Formats: sequence, C-alpha cells, structure tokens
Amino acid sequence: MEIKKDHKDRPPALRRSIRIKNRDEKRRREEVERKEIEERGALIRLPKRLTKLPACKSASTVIPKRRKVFRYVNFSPFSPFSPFSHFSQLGSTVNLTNIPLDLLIYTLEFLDGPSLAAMERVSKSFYRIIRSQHSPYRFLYYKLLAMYCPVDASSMIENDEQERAIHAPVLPKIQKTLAKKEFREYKVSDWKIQVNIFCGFIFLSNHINIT
Amino acid sequence: VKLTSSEGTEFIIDRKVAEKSVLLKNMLEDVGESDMAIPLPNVTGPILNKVIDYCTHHRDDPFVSQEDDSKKVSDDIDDWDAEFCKVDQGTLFELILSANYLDIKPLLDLTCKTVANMIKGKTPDEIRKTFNITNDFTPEEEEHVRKENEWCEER
Repeated sequence: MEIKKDHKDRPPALRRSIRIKNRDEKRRREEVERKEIEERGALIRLPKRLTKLPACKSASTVIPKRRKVFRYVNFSPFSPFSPFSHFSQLGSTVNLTNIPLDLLIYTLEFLDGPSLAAMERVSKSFYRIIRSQHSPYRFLYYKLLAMYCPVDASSMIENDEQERAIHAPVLPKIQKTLAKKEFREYKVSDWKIQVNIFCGFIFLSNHINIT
Repeated sequence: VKLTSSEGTEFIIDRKVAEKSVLLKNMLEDVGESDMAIPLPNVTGPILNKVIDYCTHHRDDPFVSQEDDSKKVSDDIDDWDAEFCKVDQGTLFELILSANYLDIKPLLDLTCKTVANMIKGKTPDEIRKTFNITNDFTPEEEEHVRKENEWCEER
C-alpha cells in the first residue's frame, strides 16, 4: 500500500520518466535475448523458418515430440476413425495450374481432340503449352490434328490433293509446306541440271582446245 | 518396410506392397535388409496412406513397364479405382505428384486419367470453373482461338 501511495505521490513527470526507463530496459533485454537466439541459430545452422518463432521460446524448452507409428490397416484416410480424419479439412495448394509441366502434359495426353481444343481456350498459358510454335509440347497439337484429319494424312501419302477435305484451316498449310520441302529434298532435276552444266562445260573446254 | 512421411509419421508395410513403387524397389535393392525407415520428404502422411491403400489393393497386379502404353485412353478405369479417386481436387493432384515421385506408373496413369475425365466433354468455361482457372484471354484473342478451333468443335 505504501508503495502505491509513493507511486501516486510522485509527480507526473517523474512517473513518465520511470515508465520510459522501464520500457527502454525491457526493449534492451528483448534485444539481447533476440541476439542470443540468432547467434545460437547461426551456430547450429538451423533451416530458416517461414513462420515466426515466439521470442521467449528457447531451444532448451522445446520438448521432443514422440513419433507416431502407424501399422498399416486398411481404412479410408477420410473416415472418422482414421488418424488422418482431419485431413479433409486441410486445404491443398496443388491444382491443375501449378502442377509440374511434365505432369500436366502427361495428363493432357489422355485427352481427345475436342477436349484438347477446349483446353487451348481455357487460358493463355494452356494455349501456349499446347499450341505455341516454339513449344516443345507442340506434339499435342499435332496429335489433335492427326486425330481429326486422318483423311489429310492419307491423302498426303497418296498425293491426292484434289479430294482432300478442307476442314482444318492450319493443317493443309502445314502439310503443303512440308510436302513442298520434302519434294524439294528429293528433286532429281537439280543435280541433273548441275551434271549437264558440268558436262557441257567440259565439252566446251575440250572443243575450244581442239579448235 | 518402414516408411516415414514428411511429417515424420512412420508406416510399416509389406515389402511386396512397397515394391509397387519403383523408387522404393530400387532403394530396397540397394540397401538390402535394414530396419532403417525410408524417409519420403515429398509425401505427406494422409497421401502416403492413400498410396499404400492403392498399392495394397494392386499388390498382385503384374508389373507395368514404362514403355507399355500403346494407346492412351482414359475410360478403362475399374470400379475400385474409380472409387479410390473420388477425392477432392487437392488430394488428387497430391496423388499425381506422389505417384510421380514414388514412380508408381499405374497410380500415375489412374490419377491423370481421372483428371482427363474431369476435363472431357466440358466447354472451356466449364473447365475454368472446375479447376478455378482465370480466363486471361482478351475477348478478341478468345474469338481468334475459337475460330481456329471451329472445325474441331463442329465434329
């Protein structure tokens, strides 16, 4: 009671200075404590936590948890008797947009043509994955085309361009260019001309020498 | 065989069940007989439990090699597998990741087929709603892509 009285008796300016002093002392103590924890952390090289640790919690006060051991029994993890019954409440962050690209592609490979076409229209990223000119997964687009234009593929082999149905706007262009490229590669007229020119040149040079 | 999930939960399973995973099979072959638990830091307890559930049910199935898939179809899922895949989307994608990590091809195929079946027969808008995807196309771009794929939709 006396203390209280004393405290009350003090002038307000003094009370304020004491309060400030106490506050500063408390901050200094916290700072020292924090530095200690940091130094200890640096020594034992603990992996960085993403969540904040309470400042007063030191390593010595942590009680080691007992490991749970489950002998496998055939129950559903979502049944109320399961030790994982809480799992249904946990929100997973994995979804179709953030699974690894190779797994996404593997999944897309199970799709048929119209579904692949629909997936292209879902978002720009899916469009780029499936369709992009420089995408390593462009094979999916070719799969889509092959699935829907078997007539084009067969007609290309038979070189029967007249009867080809034009229902895919992109495929005929691709195949025409491909066909032209291939035709160019196996064209015999090029080397025939070259041989003719060469022979002609030899003949002419011989003829000039004779005359 | 002892397996430890990412949270440190230990599972004790038969070797035959563990060997459905190529990763575990190779590990067990390399290590030999040992009481040491195999840590699986990329798999959580509940997902590992589901994976074990699958492997136990399919323990006597013949081994499927990586090159075996001649044709990829998604409508050959049996009743037990279909029931097994009746989980929320998060769990399904976690199962895909785990199957890939543990190298269990039949489980990877099953989960991917399930996702493919969720996509099949849906319009782009329905797919967006199902998987919570934002449409980042401008109306002009969307129209352009729609026109490009018109031939496919008509069929």
